[in-house]
Amino acid sequence: MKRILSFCIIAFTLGVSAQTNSRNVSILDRDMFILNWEIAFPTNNDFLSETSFGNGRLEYRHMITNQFAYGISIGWNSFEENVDQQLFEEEDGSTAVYTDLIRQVYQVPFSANGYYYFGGNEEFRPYAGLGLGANYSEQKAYFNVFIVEDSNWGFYLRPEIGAQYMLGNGFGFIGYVSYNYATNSSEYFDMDYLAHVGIGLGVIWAL
Amino acid sequence: MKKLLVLCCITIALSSCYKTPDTSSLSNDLVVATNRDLRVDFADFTTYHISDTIPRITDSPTDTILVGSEAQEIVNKIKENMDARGYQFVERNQDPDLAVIPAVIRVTAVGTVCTGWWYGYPGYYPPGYWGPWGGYYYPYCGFYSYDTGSLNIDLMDLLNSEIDNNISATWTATMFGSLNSSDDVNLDRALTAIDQAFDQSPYITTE
Repeated sequence: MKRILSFCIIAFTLGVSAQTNSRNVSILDRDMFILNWEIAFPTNNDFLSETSFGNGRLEYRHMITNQFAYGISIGWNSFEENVDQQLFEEEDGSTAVYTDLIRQVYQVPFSANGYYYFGGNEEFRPYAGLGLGANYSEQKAYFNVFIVEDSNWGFYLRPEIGAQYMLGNGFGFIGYVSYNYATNSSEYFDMDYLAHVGIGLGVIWAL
Repeated sequence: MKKLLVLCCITIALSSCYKTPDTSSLSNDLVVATNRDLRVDFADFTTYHISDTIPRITDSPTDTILVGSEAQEIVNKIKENMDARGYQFVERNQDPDLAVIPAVIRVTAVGTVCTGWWYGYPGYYPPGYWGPWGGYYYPYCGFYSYDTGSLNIDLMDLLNSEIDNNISATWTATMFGSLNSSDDVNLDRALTAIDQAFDQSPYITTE
């Protein structure tokens, strides 16, 4: 996390110094690389519900017209929650375990994305987007000296609204709110899907 | 191409944010797992026997039995729970329906697939102790790793052992780490864990 923060601070500093030299903020027909840091609020509370601050997303976008862009992205989300001592039972009643737990969910969503940019001006541009792809996830439960784990793939869907602000010389900032849904399921953990709401902040380089 | 490579490297570096949690906060003193044979109706049994001594599963063939007041308190606590469920204690020569076998496990076994591996250890009651039977049989698999200092209780079916000449396990409770690895027995933890094992197994009853 410290590395991400340092990276963002350096990028911000470079961006601010760059904008003093140029105010060319047009991104039409340019390649954009975006690094986001994200706060994630799980919404499938059966498995865990604690907010996570260890998330991010790396994106590539390309503006094909003044309104439309396409791109690809890869993200990572890391959730962790301590669960107080309680009884966990197999559905058939054969096994029961009384324990406390640490639950973890890690996921890496890959998606192809499309974006529509609303009016605004060259510097500030709100947008709506949709990402479709695949999501790899690992779920783990730590108790006593044991680890129970499962991993799976699922279909991934991410509607998103956000806005970007270009400072100049190809550098800018971005913020968004997204809903992330993946069909990853685990019989072992009695989990049907993974979902969270993400609030992200990032930096943009337009090349 | 070079830029894409750099971005891929950043992604891989950031995805290493997935961390092993600090498990030191997890309980070591009250983790209780129970397994049962779903085919068994515990109302079929009315009597049981438990010895005054407790096998100690260790790496030393001469250190095989836990005796004295600590063992007696553990045995009494098990008796108290069995009596509360309606079962009657009888002597071994009075044909008990159930053999109750507690054991203290002082070795760490990792990768064991099924429960019951400990009955080959010196000190664990051989099948012949209960009658002319060939061996023990565990119809279920449970946890694959036992921490040192665990207390284990098996309920063995003596009533139906003539059928295949084996003594079949009907229920196994493992109280992980309830007895620490030194010779000092933490009785409070063990006694609380025994109560928890019966509490989470309400099907053990004559009714």
